[in-house]
Amino acid sequence: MKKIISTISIFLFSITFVGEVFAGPKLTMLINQSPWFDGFRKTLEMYEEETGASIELDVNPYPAMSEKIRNSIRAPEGIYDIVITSTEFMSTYSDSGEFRNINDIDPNYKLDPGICSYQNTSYWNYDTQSYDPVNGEFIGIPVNGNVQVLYYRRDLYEEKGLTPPKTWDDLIANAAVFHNPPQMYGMIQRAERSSVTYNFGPYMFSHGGAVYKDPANGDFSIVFNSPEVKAAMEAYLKVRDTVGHPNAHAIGQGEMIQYLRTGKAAHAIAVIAAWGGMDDPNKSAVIGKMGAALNPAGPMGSASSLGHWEAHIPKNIPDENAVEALDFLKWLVTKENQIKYIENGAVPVRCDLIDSPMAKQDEFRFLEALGQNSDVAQFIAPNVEAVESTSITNLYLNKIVAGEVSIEEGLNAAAEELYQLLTKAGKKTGKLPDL
Amino acid sequence: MNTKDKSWKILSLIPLIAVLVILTLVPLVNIFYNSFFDIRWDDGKYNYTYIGLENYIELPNNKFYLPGLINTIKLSIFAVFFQMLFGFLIALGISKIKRGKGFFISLFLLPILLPPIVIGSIWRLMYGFDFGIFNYLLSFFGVFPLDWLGSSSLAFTSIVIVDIWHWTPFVVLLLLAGLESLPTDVYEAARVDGTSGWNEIIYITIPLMIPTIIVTMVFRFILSFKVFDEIYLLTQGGPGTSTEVISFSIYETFFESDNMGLGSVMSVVSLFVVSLLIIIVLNVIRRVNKYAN
Repeated sequence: MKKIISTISIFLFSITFVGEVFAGPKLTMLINQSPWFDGFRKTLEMYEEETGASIELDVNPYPAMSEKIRNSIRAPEGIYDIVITSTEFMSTYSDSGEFRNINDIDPNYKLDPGICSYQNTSYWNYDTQSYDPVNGEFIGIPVNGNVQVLYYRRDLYEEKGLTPPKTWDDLIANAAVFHNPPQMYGMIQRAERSSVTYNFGPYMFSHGGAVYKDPANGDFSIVFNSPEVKAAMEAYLKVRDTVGHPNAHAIGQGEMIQYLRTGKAAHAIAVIAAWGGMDDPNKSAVIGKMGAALNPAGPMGSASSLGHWEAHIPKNIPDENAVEALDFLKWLVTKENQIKYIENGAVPVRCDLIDSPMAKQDEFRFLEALGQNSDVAQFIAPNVEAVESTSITNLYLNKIVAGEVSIEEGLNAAAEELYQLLTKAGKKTGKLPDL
Repeated sequence: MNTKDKSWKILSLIPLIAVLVILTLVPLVNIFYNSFFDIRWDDGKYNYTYIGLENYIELPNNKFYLPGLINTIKLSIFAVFFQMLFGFLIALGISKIKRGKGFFISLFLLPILLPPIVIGSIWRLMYGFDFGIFNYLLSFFGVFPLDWLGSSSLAFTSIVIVDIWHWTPFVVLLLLAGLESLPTDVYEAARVDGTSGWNEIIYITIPLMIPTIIVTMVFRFILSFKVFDEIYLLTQGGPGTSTEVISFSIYETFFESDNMGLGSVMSVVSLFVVSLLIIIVLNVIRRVNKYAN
């Protein structure tokens, strides 16, 4: 009898204890299927094990993300306690007014200075409709530090005694050594209509070009048909014509990664999230052979384009859930947990890891390039109309690369449509004379 | 018919009419209504600003819609023509098979049973410039690799080929059902008269099949306007706008750009164009039939 009573007591105690551990609300997070997803999932599992919290992931392909975010944050009660936004639609949703100010949840929380700033995309100023660390509201916490870096075949570089290129001309010279299509392409560019603007970013910014004149200060004058952008496009096409793939305008991210992993590309400017599979024996033929470096410099130095993700906590969820959601995000961006994050194969958001001993390990040799490129990364379309403006730049850049229109025709047409779009949106804008 | 019977008939139709009204008419009226507004999400709600015909006036200037409309019509004409041709020949072939008919039907049905994502992946891999099987095979004949999805002139044809492959089985299925229900006594009489196989097809099978062929063609024509998966998975409308189609433009406008007003106009105009084309096609067929009779 005693045994039975003690067994029942232990059982009841266990239930009570377990019940206490899982007392918090079960959260739901919207996330996209991507090369860094597995690393995120593994780190989340560590968090759940450590704290007893429970966060269910709703994993979606990238194109479904925007619509799911929109539907959830506009509903009377949100489905998701955490949503993440990419640079493509970050500004649009930041301006929606549907995200909580992080300091309303925890008035004392500040982003650690070791976290990369990503041009202050955690702070949105509703009056100027721009990112503003001084007068903006704290509405996001970065969860993925995706930027574009230069991938190069370090084994081939060692064989030929080369060093990573400093300029675009260096890149062409180095790539020419290996360019032997179709066995190997010196450089792979990703100029498919859905992503060409992003891939063109490092060329454009390094030549002093941009889409808007001074968006951080509310000046959305169109400078996309400037001589600088024209020079950048000439450089882009020169790379394509001398050491690139003739089919660049049909190559998307998937194909670019395929060329890198199968050993058919000597160089590519690709997202750091693609690094995950490079050393995976099940996915790659170039294990240990890939290196990463700062993107080549133009007249204005090196540049990259931001492609990071910010996590947001919507207003239309219970306060209790918002607190739990913030607890997880705070945990995720600590230095200690960002190291776990990297080990799990995700892309860190801290720039202070470059100097860590970890960066010296061969397995994590991409960290230095990630930090360097994060420092020079710029936001291509930091405006509320980013989705529409990017569809305009994508279309005309793709037409230029495909040879359907000349550089001047394409840039002028894009600038005119951007001007119409921004004028209609009531922005302070203007445009340059045609090229 | 007494009053009770009549009332019962009307009453029994109500659920069907209700479903039709709720799922078809209400959304249509709603889309038509939305097309006169600029709709924006602000302060936690949708704000409707009446702008009259502004969205309609803006539509011809839209850089995606007009090329998309032209491409969709072109795709419908080319794809449906070849689907009907191949579909009829395959259906005819299968109808003559005595043994293993079920096996062949299952085999030909495979493309419409596959999920669109699988179809997109298969064809994207096959069309690959460096890794694709088509260019690999062409290399044996010394042909330089073709830019199947990247060339502005070839990408559209590549999409048409996928659409033909995808939807010919649908045509086969409908035409086969038609062929199998044809009266056998006519064929028996023709054989007694010594009619050749070719003449049998020309003078008996095709005339008897005309109603089925028309229904199948109209079905396919309507469905071909809904083409989306192939474009979305293979080219995203590019290069440039060479493979843009109206479904993709509407999707981008509604769901990516969140422009409900313009998206509604695109939907209304597309509906009008499709209806108009169907009326024209049916009229042409009726006149041809009348002339033939």
